[in-house]
Amino acid sequence: MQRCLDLLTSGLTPEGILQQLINGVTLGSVYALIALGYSMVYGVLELINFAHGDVFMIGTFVVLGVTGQFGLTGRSSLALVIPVLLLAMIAAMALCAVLGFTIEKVAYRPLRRAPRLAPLISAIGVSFFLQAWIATYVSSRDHTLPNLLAGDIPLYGDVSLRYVQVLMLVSSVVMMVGLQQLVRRTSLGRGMRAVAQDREAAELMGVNMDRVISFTFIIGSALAGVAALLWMLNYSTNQSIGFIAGLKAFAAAVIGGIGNIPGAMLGGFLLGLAESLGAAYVSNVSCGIFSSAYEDVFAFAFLILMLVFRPSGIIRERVSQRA
Amino acid sequence: MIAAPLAILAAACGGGTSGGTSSACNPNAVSAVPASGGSALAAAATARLMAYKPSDPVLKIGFIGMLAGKYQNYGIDAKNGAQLAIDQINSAGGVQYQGTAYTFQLDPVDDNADATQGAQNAQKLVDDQVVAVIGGIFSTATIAESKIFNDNGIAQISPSATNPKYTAQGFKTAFRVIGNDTAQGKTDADFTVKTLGCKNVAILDDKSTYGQGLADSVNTSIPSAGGKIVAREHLDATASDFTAQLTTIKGKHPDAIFYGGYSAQAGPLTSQARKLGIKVPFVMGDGCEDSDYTKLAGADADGNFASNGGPAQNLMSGFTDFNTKFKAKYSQDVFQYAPQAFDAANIIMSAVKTAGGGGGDVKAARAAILGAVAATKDYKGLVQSYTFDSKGDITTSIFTVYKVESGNFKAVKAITTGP
Amino acid sequence: MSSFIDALVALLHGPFGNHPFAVLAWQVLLAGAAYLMVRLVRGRVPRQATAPLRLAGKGASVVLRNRYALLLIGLLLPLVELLTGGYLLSVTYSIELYVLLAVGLNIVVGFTGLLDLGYVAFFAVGAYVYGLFASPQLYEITKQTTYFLVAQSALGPEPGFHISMLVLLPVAGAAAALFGVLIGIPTLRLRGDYLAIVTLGFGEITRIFANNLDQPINITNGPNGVINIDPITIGNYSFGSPQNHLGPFQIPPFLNYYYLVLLLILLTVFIVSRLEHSRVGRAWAAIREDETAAQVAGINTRNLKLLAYASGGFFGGMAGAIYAAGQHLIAPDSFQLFVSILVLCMVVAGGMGSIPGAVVGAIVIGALYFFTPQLLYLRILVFGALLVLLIIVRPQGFLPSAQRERELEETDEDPSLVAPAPGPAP
Repeated sequence: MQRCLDLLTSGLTPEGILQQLINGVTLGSVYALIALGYSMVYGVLELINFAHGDVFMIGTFVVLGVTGQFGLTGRSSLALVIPVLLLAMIAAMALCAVLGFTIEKVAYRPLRRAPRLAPLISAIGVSFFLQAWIATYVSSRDHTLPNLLAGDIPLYGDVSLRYVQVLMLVSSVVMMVGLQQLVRRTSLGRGMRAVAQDREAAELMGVNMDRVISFTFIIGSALAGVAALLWMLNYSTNQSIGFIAGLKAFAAAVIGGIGNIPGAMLGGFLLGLAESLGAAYVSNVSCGIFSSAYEDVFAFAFLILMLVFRPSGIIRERVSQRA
Repeated sequence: MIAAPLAILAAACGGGTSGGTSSACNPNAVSAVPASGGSALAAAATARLMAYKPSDPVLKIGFIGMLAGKYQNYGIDAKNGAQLAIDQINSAGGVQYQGTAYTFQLDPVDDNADATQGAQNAQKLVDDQVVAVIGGIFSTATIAESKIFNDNGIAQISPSATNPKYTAQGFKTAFRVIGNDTAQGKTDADFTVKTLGCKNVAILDDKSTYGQGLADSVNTSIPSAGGKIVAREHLDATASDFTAQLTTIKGKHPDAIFYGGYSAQAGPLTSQARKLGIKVPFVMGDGCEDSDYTKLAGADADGNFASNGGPAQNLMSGFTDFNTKFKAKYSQDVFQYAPQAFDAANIIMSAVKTAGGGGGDVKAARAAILGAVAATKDYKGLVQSYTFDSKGDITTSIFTVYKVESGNFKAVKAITTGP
Repeated sequence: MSSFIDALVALLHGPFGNHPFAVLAWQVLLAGAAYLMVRLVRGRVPRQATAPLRLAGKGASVVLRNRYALLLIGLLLPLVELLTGGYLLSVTYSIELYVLLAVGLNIVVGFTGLLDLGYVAFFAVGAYVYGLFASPQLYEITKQTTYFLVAQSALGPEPGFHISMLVLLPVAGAAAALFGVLIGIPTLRLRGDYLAIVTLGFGEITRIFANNLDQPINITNGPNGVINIDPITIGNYSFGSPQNHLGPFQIPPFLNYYYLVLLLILLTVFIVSRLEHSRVGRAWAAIREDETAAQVAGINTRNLKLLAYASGGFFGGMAGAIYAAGQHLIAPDSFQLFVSILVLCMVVAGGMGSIPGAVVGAIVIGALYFFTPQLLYLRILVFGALLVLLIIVRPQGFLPSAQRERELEETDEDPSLVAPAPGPAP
């Protein structure tokens, strides 16, 4: 018993907790960006686009390719790094958008009237195809970028916030706000909301459904391209990261309230925090029974609990009332 | 001079229905195997279709390991090492025993480092009438395979499986030519605490068979070396973000971090640690002593340590010669376990020298080789001198610790364990 | 075989070089050409030209639907294979286990329409039940308790538990069934996609637990897995021994296991086909078609869904126990998500809701998968593409159940049947 109490108090330092919060928010900002894509597609089509995570994975390889082309190293000057990263982002967004558009057209559109399980199985097929394609024709190993944009802002004790983390946080919030405006204010956004509420009525009202759905995929996938760049600034990639990152992003979308844009964002941050804090303190809390090896369990457990107790998510969807 | 082309011819046939001395190869067999040859699978398939002739003086040695996929470098490297040893013996006329000249042929199969596929392909080697086996490369698959080889009385020498369980199952057929995790963990612990003088050590592993096995062994050896374990954390081998574990470790202020796992995670792990402001060195095992680590960690790789089985390559007598031949044949440098596999193949072939190759009876050949391999004592190989204990482990093992300096691993200390 | 594979690899790689974009460009061209060919040929080939093909297909279908023909093939196949050694048989045996899994998953996905992406969890539970209670693994735990003394005296001199398969097979099935119910209860209200993702989560959680339950007490031995699992022994006959002889013929262990699993498949198919045509089966079909309507019609959807999970789990658990016994070692790595997806492919390819479909799907997909290990990632690539193609071109699978086929035709005409079901119920 004493051992458990010792465990509880040891390791709980303010620096540690602050650092874990930063870790969680950093991870969460990427989850949030991927979650936006899931959430939009689900909102419009009611389909879990299982291949979305793999679109993101392809994005990370595009970023790798572009930065590799320019031979960036940790010592490259900012005057080179920033334009190259911008170019990498644009390339990743463009390629992901094309890919998302193609996937919808090839794998989902023919199944729009099929039974409900059909598009889901097709999505799994696409996901495996993309992973295997990268492993076969690009690389089946792990890759990282050099440490770009080094430098940090000291916060408290020896904890500091790195420029990259600030960038990740700011860009994901900017993307979310931009997307929110797009859905609220443009005619395309109106079309999306209409299709989400009632597909047939929207079509009767003159909304071009195919176009709206295509655009939903294009925008969601382009956001995954942005997420890919941010991810590569901090983490590593291989052909299978998309599946896991995608699952967690989906969990984030559900936690926040699927179909809801700020919800997806909130869910992403919450999930990132849950993972970081969970991995860090589960051992202290559980008296050493559980260890940080259970990190992945938290995301799934969070998702399951959420679905059981509050299936509509933290922010109830407003785009349309289903369920 | 005459034996060499004949041996190559026999190998090209895949089946080896003819000996190095008797009539020419079956032309049908040659046409069935594409001229590009080399395709191990084609060779193996052809081999299965052909009946094994009792008078055949060509003995088949199996090789099993990951030959395609994420960790294929390890498997292909070891396979090439074994092939080189066999080619050398064959071109010298094979092994003489009581007037019979035995030549050898390597029969490689892929286990994808997977237990189920390992068992299936171990069975394939049994079907192929191999007399002994080199492999597997990864511990889990190796243990699954060891059952099949034990059932059939086939000596199995792994060049790289370090999990202690492999030789602790009571199988008389399981051997390895590398120190196990217990020995390596003790070496790493001693090096960290005594040589580096790092008393407070944090231990991290990837929860894989290999990573956790080594980390557990370091975990038990650190206190006896006079050090203290300040943190024990795990990460998931599929994860990309290790900052949660690293932050916990940072809060415990270790002098060094031991990581048990592969370079795919160790590289990003090192970078993330440096970004969090953790400046202490990482000490790692053989899974990280490769160019992937230095590539993935980039500039952050410098100043970290990794241990590996065997002496540093420049300290192996005859390594330069070995590497020259290896490079001439496969146009690449030795990656990891080629020297160990080379020695394993030679141990098997020298067993034929002492006990014979069964005179055409595969079962007799297996039994004779098994007995002679188990009795191996002070066999001078490329890497070290080998003596097997009753379990099939080597009594003396040599480890070398390497340090990354300007992006390359440089040997800094050699450690010998055992009597 | 291998030259065919080489040709396939070369065809997919194309002549433009190794750069990913070069390969991509070639593959896009290839896909476009294939699409155009299909468009061109479609409807223009005279019926007589395809008659032999259709006849062959019909013949195959008749044979495959004939249980006696299948049984005969099943009985004789291993004896033929043994002529070439034990390898073919060992692979066939792996495929057989997948047949068992596919028939089990078919209950959940095909009959009841619950998309379960975590089916591997049941397989794992069954495997670990046998692995733990028929190996020295629990020795360390039992040693510390008085329980050990009882176990020692009751179960012989060897350390750990060594309980017979006769006892453990139903126990493993029951444990997996119970696990199915446990997964089922919190997910009862979930439908469609949500259910898929939650079951996937449960599957992964199971594997992670198996990988980590070596601390603080060593139960599963973590990533190393359970080693030295007893082979099945009935009386004095050990299935795993290489020393069994029938007259002059040696009986390899895989042959024993093959026939055991064949027997289990027969039993399973018998039970499941009885279930299908019973009240329960009809209720499952009703739930699959429209859960709300089924509920209104007085069907206890809660209990029936749980029953579907439990029965699916039961067969998965039995398959797991046998797998463990034949394998000598089980490790968490053998229970990856991919196994669930592979079994799902089998069910979908064979025809959801059709028992002969599940069997044939498992055999075809299993053979494609297990006999092409040298293709590595490429086989997964081909699988992904096949899965998409199959669900678009032939969503009813190779051997659809007659009823299901009728339904699919109906849905083409009546859009109200395909309106997406809501997400989680309120």
